[in-house]
Amino acid sequence: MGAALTSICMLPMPIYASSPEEIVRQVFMKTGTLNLVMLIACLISARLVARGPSLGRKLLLGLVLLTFFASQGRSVLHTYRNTDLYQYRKTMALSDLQIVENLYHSRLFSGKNILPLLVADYMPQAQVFLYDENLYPKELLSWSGRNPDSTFVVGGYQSTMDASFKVACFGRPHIIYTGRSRAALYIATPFSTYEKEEQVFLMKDALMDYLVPGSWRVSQHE
Amino acid sequence: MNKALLMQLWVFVIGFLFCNLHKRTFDPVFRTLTALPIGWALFGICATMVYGVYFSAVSQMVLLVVLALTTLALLLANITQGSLSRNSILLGGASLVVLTGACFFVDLLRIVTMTPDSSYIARFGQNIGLGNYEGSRLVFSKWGPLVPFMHSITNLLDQKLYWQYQPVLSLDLVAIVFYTVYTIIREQKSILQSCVAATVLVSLMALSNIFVFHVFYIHVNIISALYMYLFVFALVKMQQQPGRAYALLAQLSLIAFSLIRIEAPLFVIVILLVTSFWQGWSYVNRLKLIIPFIVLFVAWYARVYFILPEVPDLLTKELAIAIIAVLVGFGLFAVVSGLKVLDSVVKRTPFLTLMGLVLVSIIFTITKSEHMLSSLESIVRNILVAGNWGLTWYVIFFLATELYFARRDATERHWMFMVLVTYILLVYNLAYFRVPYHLGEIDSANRLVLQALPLVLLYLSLTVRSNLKAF
Repeated sequence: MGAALTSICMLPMPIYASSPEEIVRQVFMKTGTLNLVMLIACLISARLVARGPSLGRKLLLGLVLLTFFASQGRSVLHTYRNTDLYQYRKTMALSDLQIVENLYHSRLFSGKNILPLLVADYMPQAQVFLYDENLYPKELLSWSGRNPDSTFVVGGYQSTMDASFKVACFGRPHIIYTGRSRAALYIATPFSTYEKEEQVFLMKDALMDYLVPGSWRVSQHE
Repeated sequence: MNKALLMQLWVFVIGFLFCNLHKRTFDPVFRTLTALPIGWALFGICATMVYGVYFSAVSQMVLLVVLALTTLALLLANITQGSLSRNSILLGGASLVVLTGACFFVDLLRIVTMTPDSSYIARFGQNIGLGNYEGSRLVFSKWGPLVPFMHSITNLLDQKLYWQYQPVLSLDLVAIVFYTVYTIIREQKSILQSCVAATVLVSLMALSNIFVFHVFYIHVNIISALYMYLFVFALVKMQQQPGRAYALLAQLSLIAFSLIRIEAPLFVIVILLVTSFWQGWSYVNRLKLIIPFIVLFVAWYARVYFILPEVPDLLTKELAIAIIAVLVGFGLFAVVSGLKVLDSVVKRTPFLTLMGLVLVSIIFTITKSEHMLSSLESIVRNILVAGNWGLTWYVIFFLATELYFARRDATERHWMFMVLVTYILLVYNLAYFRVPYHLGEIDSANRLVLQALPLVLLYLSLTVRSNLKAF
C-alpha cells in the first residue's frame, strides 16, 4: 500500500513540471547533491547488507543519521545567520512586526489599511480624523478593537498637506509604509509618538496619505 | 512578562490538577508534560461555552470567573479523592519552577515569526477579549476559536501581543513526543536503546527548518499537532490500559483539536472511524467518547452560523450547515453501531472508511483533474523539495523501508498506519473545496503534513519497539 501511494503521488510530477530533468535538478539543488546521493546509496546498500544486527548495518544507519544531522544542522544555522526570522524582536506589537520588523505583509493590513493595527497598538485614547467617510469600510475600522463610531471622525479639518508642513513632516523621523498595497501611508516613528496624542489626523497630498499626530498640527499653526 | 507568565502558570495548575486526579494511570513525568495542553484545552472549552452563550465586554470577566471556579472544583476533587499527596504537591511545585524557567528562557529569546494569518488571528482574537463583536467575527470563518481565544486575554497581560504561549507549547510538544516515544520503546528495550531511539526519532521532527519556524510561528499548526498527537496517543493507550484516565485525555484532546481548525472535526471523525470501530472497543466506550464531542460541536457550529459575517472567509453558512450534517450523521452512526443488524458493517468500518476516501479522491481527481493533480504535485514536491523539510522525509522513508522489511505484526501499528493514510487522503480530498495547494513551506497542505509528523514518529516508535534488532 505504501508503494502504491508513493507511485500515485509521483505520477503527476512529470505531467506538471516542465521536465523530469527539472524535478531531479530541483531535488538535488534543494537537498544538497552529496547528501541525497549518500542517502540513496544507503537505501540501496541497506538492501544488499545482510538482514539482522551486523556491523555493516550499524555503520549504514550511522552514515544516514550523520548525514541527516549535519545537513539539517547546517540548514537551520544558515537560516539563523542569513535571515531575520530568528532574530531578537525589540517591540512585540503587531503594527511594529508588520511595518518595522517587516516580516510579511498581510493583505488586509497593508498600506493605509494598517490604521486599525496602529490604533489598536498605539492610540488607546486618540480620536482619529479621516478626510473621507468612504476611505475605509466600517468593518475595517472596527478591527482596531475600539468603537469605530466614537473613535473615527469624518471631516472638520483641513486635510490637504501644504508644502511647508510637508517639509516639516519629512524632517521628523518617519516611515512610508506600502506593503502589498499601492496606497502608501506616512507614519511618524517611533510609533509611541501617537500614544499621548488626543487627536490624530489623516491628511493627503497627490502622492499619499499622512498619519499626522495632532500636536504637530497645533505647533505648525502656532 | 509577569502577567503572561502568571497566566501560563494558572493554566498549568488547572491542567495539573486535572491530570493529578488520574495519578494512578499517568506517571509523574507524563502528568507534568500534559498539564499545560490540558489546561489550555479546558480554557478553550470554557471560553467556547462562555462566548457561545454571551458575547460582550463582560464575557472576559465571566470567563475568568469560570476558570477560577474550574480550578477550585479540580482542587476540591483532588482533596476529596486523596490525590493531593505530599509527593504530588512537590511534583506540582517543581513543575511550576521548571515552567517558569522555560517561560523566562522564551522571553529572553524574544523571537516571533509571523505571516499575514498571524496578524489576523492575533488582531481579531484581541478584539474578542475587548468584547468587540463586529471586529472579531471574521476570525470564526477562518479558524476554530481556541487560538483566537488565547489571544483574547492580551488586554489583561499589559502586552500588545501575546506570543509567549507559542514557543512554550512547542517545547512542550517536543518533550511530550520524546517522552511518549521513549516510554513506548522502553516497554521492550533498555534505557540506553530507548533514549537513543527516541532522540533520533524526535530529531527527525525538531531538526527540520520548517518545524523550527513553527516553534515561534503565531499560528494554529503546532497546537493542532500537539492535540492530535495526544488524542491518538491516548487512543493507543486506551487499549492497553482501560479506565477513565486515557478516555478523558482522548476526549479533551479531540475537543481541543477540533476547536483549532475549521476542518479539524472532519479529521477527528475519520480518526474515530478508523480507530474506535475495532472489535476491541465496547459500544459504551465509543459513545462516551463520541457523543460529548458531537453535542458540543453541533452547538458550536450552530452558534457560528449566526456569528459569520456577510462576507465570510473559508467557512460559509452553507459549509457550517454541511459540517453540522456530517457531525449529526456520524453521531447517528455511532448510536446505531450497537445494533446487531449492522454488525457486519460496523466491523468493517475502518476498511470502508479507507476505501471511501480512496473512492472520493478518485472521483474528485476525475471531476477536477487539473485542480486536484496540481494540488497533489504541490503536496509531494513540498515534502521532497520545496517545503523546507531538508532531509527529514528522506530519512523517514529510509527508516520506514528498513522497518518494513523487518516488521512484526502489532494491532496498534496497523490502525496507526490506517490513521496516517486516511489523514493524507483527507488532506488531499480537502483540496477539492478550496484553491489548489501551492508550492512553499507555508502552503496549507504542507502545514497539515507537519501536523501529522508527530504521529509518523509515534508509528515509527511502535515499529522500532519490536524491530530494533534490524539494526
